[in-house]
Amino acid sequence: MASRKRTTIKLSAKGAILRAPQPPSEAQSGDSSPMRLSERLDVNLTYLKSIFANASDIHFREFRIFDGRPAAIIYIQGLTDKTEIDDNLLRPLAQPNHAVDRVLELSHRLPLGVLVEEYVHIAGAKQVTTLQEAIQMVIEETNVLLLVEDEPVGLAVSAAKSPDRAVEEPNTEAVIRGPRQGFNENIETSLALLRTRLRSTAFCIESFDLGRYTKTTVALCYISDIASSNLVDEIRSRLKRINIDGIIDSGYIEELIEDSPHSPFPQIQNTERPDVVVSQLLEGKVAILANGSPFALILPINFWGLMQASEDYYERYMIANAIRALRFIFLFINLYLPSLYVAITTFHQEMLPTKALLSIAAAREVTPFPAVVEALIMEITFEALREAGVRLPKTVGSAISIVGALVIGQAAVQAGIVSAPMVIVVSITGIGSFVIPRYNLAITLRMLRFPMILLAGTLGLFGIVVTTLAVIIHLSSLRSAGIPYLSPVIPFHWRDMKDAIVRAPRWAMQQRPAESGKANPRRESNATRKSRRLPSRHRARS
Amino acid sequence: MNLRVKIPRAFCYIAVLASCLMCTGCWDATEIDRLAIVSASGIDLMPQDEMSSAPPKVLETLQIARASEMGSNGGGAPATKTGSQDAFLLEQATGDDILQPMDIIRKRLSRKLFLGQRRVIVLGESYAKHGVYDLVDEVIRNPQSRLRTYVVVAYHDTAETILQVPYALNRLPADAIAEIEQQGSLPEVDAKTFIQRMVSKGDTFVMGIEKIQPSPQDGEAMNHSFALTHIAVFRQDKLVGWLDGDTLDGFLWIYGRIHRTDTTVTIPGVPGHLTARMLTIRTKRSIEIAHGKPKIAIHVFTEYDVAENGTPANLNSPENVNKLRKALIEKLTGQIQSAMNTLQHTYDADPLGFGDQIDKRYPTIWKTIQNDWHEVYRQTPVNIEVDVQIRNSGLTGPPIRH
Repeated sequence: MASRKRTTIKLSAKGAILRAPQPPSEAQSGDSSPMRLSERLDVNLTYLKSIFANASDIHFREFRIFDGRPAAIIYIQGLTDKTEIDDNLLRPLAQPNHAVDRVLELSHRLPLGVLVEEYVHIAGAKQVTTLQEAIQMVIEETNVLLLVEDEPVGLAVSAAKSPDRAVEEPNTEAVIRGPRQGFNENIETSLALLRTRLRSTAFCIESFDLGRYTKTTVALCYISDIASSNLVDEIRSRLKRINIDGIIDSGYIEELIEDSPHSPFPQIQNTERPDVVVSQLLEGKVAILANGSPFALILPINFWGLMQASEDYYERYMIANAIRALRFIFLFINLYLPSLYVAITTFHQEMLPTKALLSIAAAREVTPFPAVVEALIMEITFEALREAGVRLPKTVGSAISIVGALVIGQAAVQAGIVSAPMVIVVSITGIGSFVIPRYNLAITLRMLRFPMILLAGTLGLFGIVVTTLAVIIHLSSLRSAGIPYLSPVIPFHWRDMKDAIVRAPRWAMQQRPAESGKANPRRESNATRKSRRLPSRHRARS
Repeated sequence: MNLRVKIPRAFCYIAVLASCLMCTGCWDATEIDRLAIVSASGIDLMPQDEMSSAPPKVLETLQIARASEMGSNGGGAPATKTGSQDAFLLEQATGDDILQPMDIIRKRLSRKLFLGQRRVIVLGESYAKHGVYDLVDEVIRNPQSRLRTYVVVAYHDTAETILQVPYALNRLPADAIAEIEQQGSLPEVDAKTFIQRMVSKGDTFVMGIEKIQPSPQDGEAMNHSFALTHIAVFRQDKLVGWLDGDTLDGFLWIYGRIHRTDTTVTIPGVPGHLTARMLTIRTKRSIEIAHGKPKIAIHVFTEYDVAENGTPANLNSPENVNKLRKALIEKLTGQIQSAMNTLQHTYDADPLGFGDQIDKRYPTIWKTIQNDWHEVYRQTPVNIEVDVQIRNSGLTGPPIRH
């Protein structure tokens, strides 16, 4: 809003200042003719002050450097490190040191280059020559801009210190065994977490500034040796096509670059865990990080990958397989149990064992609604409870669980509004949806449950089959960054079965996934081969 | 202002399709609490005047589960006592065939008659003697009738009386009958095998169910109950007789597919009894054509464990074990012989499917003998071979009683 009112200033050819109202577009950096910085400090400052007139957080500090020339620094108050500026910029510039005395005697004036070399004790320093550049450095890069009288160049010193959160354990993907660091909102921290894990020149990070106003730093990460260049080119071009006011969270990017935005299934994985990103990069995938979001995006992915948790790879493979099997069982329970219950109790009673039928019949004796209505009521209530639990302030969270347990768990059954087996079905389904490691896939399946319950209530098992077929047809035509969503099952790659539904032992996973790791199919995993592992007892003795 | 909002075409299609679905309602849906769940049905023949020439009427009894009595009342305990008659209700009607009385009952009930969970069909003896083709047709034709329903015949009784008896260990007596059949010590005959045998070249058989009266001197100490004690042997669709005692045992050895049974024998010259538990039984029964004449060969191989030794014989000595083997072989052979005798000569029925075997192995010969198969069957010699192995005489030493 503020930017619409802002007026901008143009320097005419003679250097006089003209105030000119600008159309409400991004003006400063988009101009064709870059305006050079003036030698006169006051001209530069007047111009910059008028640009930053409505930005009260941008501070101007004017002072004199040791040779008597007036100078100024311009910085954003909250985003720069004050002690750094004081200790390493202002103080050295105010006090002459011996090394430059000789130069001083010669000219009484120090060129900016010398100033930088001798006085500015900060790693990142860059000379800027145009006003646009200067503004950009202050606003977008949160640098400190140093301007000195008689110098037609400014110095952008990086002393950025953005409000930052400590590296914490990711809340959304907890593990029992495995690294506990998670990304945070600061992209530099996030990238640092990646770089500590990938110390290779092949690990590429390409930066973009996306968002007309937010100028969000977005990083495209990949390992150049492994990721196919086609994929990287494609993602890069998708990112470059983004033209939007702002990127608040990486979710914006996900929605803008995914293959089929109208599909309920997530085609891009998001994760808070650097270890997940690294492992995916090693499989030839590409990650996108956005400043301000602790969630990295990973693509291409497949459906099976969404059923995997990072811990699968940190725990021994048998345990991982058992847990994975459990997850798949609950995936089906989550999707099918309520609709199966509805279909079987209203259409196919002969499918139940006699005793089960009788106890369900006994429980349903007093309930007023048909099973399908009951199922919908309970499922919607459960979803509302879950949503309330997510949004509630933590202090009232326990109230919800009491209300949920007492009201829908017990009172509804005792009052005869809902039958007890239905409560059991809904609870198991609820548990099932939390067993799925990726929250967005769990939501998708929860969403699909409702049409499935409706169809089960109207068409019975036939309705369930129809919905299943529709989902399978949709899934098999879905792609994530061009790679079939159900691969390696459809299309079938026997080689990749090692890590789709089961997780093979590490030494059996010699090859990267067929679809994403084409460029460099073989993992350097000789060391984990059977013959290279610890010598067996037999060989040790001989 | 343009009020027309552009709606995506796909959305329109989906909306129309979805509303179509909703309009039709739920086609075959029946809420589970609208069902009268039939757990067992019984068929009897109505007693008839000697004079009338009209075909006899059929009395049908349905045992319907009372769902409200089956569940628990919150605390996990069932609402009524097991073994009482509250858990089910009986409905009766008469009619000309199987489904007519059912239709009469249906019209009386507030709930939809549901046969999909019928576990047992009880045939009254009179009805079984009259012929069961009507029932077979109903079971095959009616999609609700399941083929896994067990068929039993009331031994010297009507189906009605059997269905009235509550069972002390099961809430529904029908469950009890089904579970007794599933125990494995008797041949399990459901509607499918019953009908399969009936339409084969051989004959069929099912278990007979007998109501056990509480003995008067015991007072109320003993429950009314029932037991599967006999085998009902059919010829074509008609009941021709019963097997019990030794003949029943003999029949079981030839039938072979039983899992657990005990045999008690006495060893000649040794006082007391000895009970052996059968571990395995493998029976080969074949009918060969030798010199144009059929010949039945029955080979039974059994393995036994000694479960109780009430004799002074020390089973650690091979001699005694051999004696026991001989006693067992003799007993089994005798029982098999008596079973084959009864089947061949008393009932002239072929429930073990020898006719079927000839048809499969010698189809051309079968064609020549099928018309007088029963004559041939009666005269077919039977060769019985029994092999008994004692696997285990118990890890104890000599018997305690000396």
